[in-house]
Amino acid sequence: MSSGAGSTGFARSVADFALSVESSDVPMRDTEASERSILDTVGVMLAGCASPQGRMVDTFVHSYGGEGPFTVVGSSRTVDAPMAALANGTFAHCDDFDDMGGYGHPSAPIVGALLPAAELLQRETGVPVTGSQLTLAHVVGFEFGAAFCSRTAYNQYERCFHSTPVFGALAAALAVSRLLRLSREQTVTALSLAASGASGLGRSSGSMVKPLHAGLASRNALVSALAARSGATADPDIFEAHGGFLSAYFGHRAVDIDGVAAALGAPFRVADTATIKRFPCCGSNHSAISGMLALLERNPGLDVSTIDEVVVHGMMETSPVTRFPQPSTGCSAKFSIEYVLGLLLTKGSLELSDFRDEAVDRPDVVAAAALVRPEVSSRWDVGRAAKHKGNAVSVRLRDGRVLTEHVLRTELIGGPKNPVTLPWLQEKFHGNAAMTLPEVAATRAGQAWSALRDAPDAARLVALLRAAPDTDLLPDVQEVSG
Amino acid sequence: MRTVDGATQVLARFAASVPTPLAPAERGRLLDSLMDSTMAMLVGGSEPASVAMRDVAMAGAGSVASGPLAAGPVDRTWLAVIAALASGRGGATSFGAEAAVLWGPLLQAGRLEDPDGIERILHSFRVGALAASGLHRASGYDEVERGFVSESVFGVLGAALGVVALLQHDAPADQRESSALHAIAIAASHAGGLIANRGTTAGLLSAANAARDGMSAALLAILGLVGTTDMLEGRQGYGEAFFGLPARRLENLPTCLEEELLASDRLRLRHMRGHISHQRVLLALGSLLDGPAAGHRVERVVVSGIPPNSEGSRFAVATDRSQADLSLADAVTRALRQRDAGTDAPTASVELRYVPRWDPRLEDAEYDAEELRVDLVGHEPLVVDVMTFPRSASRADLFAKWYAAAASCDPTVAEHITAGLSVWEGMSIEPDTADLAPLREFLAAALRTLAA
Repeated sequence: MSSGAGSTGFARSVADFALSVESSDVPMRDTEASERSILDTVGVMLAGCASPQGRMVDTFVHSYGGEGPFTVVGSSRTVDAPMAALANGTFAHCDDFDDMGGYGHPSAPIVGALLPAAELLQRETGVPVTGSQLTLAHVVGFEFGAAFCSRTAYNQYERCFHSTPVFGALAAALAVSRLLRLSREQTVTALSLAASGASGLGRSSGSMVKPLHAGLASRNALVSALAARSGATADPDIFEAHGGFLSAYFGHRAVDIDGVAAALGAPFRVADTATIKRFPCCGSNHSAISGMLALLERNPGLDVSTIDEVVVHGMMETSPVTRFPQPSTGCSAKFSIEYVLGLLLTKGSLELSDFRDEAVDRPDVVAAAALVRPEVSSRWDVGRAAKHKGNAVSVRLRDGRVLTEHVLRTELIGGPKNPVTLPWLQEKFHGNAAMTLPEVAATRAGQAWSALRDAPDAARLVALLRAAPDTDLLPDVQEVSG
Repeated sequence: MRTVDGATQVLARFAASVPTPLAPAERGRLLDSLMDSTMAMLVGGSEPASVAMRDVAMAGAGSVASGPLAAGPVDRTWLAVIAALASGRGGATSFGAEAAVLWGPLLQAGRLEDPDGIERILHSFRVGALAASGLHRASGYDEVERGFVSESVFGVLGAALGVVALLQHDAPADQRESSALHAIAIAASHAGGLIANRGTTAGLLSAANAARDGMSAALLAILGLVGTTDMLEGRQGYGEAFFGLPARRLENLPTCLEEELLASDRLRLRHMRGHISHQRVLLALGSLLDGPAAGHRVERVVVSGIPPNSEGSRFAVATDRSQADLSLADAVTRALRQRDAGTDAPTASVELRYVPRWDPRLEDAEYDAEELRVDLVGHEPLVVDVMTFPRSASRADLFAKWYAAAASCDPTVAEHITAGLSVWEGMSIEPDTADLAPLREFLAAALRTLAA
């Protein structure tokens, strides 16, 4: 059945899926992929809270949030759960260094909501949430969000609403509902509430507001689940109804939501979808970045002074990284193919510090960036540009030679076909965590979150993410890992 | 190369430059709206939706014992606006949001202890209401066609600009404009809310979220969070998302803002509980039942000329109070039952007649219905033109509404209501700060009650 033709029960089907899945139903490769994503997400939260926008949001939640015992990552102070979700979800996305795939940035909204949800459940029941339960909740939410967005071919560039917070709110609401063990009807209500609270505009890309989208989705999800649990009402057919989610976000296009429901968990898609980022910038840059790095590695003498032009092929007209040819802020630099390739040509690497406001106007980088030309494909030439194809990079040298490299987006290191190793991921975690935590605390947090599967108490792991925790009071890693 | 200021800049500049002195009539009407919304917050606190959301706030605070007092100003705003909407009696605005969506954040963010605290709150409401209603008119937005609720789409911006005006009242104009610019960008990314959820708790949350998020957007902008400066007109921005690609530039926005004169013109205060489109219909019915129909048995009531997409006729049969507020049939039936209470008269039937979308009267956003006819046993039918009844309640009407509400409230709340009505009745519309001390005390007490 398609939307608008009398189909009902999508939210109920989704709820049934969430309630029926157990850890043993999830293939080990998907569980491992989920664990990697969670580890990566808490790591980038620890870096994100140190960013300028992260610090502002931290000030906001502590100044205007309510009293509460819930962890704000990177802070020594605690707040109420919704504000903690807002902060943590935002931190995860502050540097655009969080995972991608499925519906944009899948784990930031989910993990941002799950951290306070785990603490809340443990406080309410006295029974700890295990690492496995946290992972299962992530899998459930990720599965739904990814299936819904990808199978319906939602196009955020045409519809304007950023897919991360829109589908992320739904995914996170389902994840929290599963973690809190809401009933079927409560889960349906939570989804309906989350759908009504979804928001986030694509125009915010390249500004400090984009990270906030993930935090809004996290808070929305947590509040939706709590409200459903407290007896709030909402339309159970919110997706199909007149004036509902499908008509608002998809317009009059027919959408096969029954197909989405049938595809949930058949098979699970975390392992085949989630991509851990190597570079702290928009994912639409990564294919070209990977290509350029390969060229630099194969041609050690490649230097700005020898280059006539760098062409990035197959750029879609809607590509967000063509929006800021001459970025003036760190946030907009993340969405500039010219800047990131200029950076590589100048220093050969990309780091978080390269995306702070004070770094973007270095004369050598600006000069190198001016050599970069994105080749935008005509809208009518559908065979040339597509997101999954990535972008070939050609370097035309002054001596006439042309060097070309093409790394498909599907072949990116960190993606499903080329997953990063655990040591690499742990090193990324440590580099991020050390921006906020002392060395010992960063190490302990990394070890503990790397052993999430065996952790008997997720709330204790969350506590390791607080600022300057007293190392004498820290439990041994073995204690938190079980 | 475009050199004319974009819509975002235009709106921000407008919000930063709304003149301060209020005309006495405008001031009086805004005071009425402020009191009306505050009463709604107090009365609505005991509604099931309100109670449920206070439980959420308590859970979010991590301890049942800590209570909503543990909530910060942002979430206290959220709870207060939920209460106001749950009461079903607060005033509405022309841009689709309840007035409480703007009053809620301003009351939480305002400094009532300051002698000019009330004046600043009134001015700030005016800024937010004029900006939101100007934008609404410039956009020609139809929420039923687009699917996102107006209280979120426009309310969140109105709340954001109102709070910026309040908190930066003494700041230089260029600073106010800059904060307004970024508050617009932040707030716009919070707009959402689905009309399918009207008549449920989720529907109330759309408005409460708009108030909370507008306040948050203002606070974040003042803290320095920077958004895109062309959020309204830019590609993939607010205008394109909600109004469509061709309309995104909002080229008539300057004209529409210039035409915004009185914020009070943008208010419709309710005479009684129920959707704003029910008010005139019920007044018309009351005028007949209490007048020429008195003593006669009513056989049928026919309301004709109803817009086919009227939210007030959303539910033919209401299953709870939230739905009843969106059911004209239910509202008319209840009025008839109340009139016939204690008698054995069978309940009269109610028939609603809708007009097609081609009807030119639908161009008027405040058109509610054409006529109401009452068929009586043994008597000629009585007919009255619905649109001849007042679009908004007078101060006297508001007093009657809240005195009636107080009679069925919890004693503590009733005491607050009665105290507030006493202050309200004694208020002068002239800007006399000494006169406002009792008002400041009442509002502060109301906020403490709401937070308890």
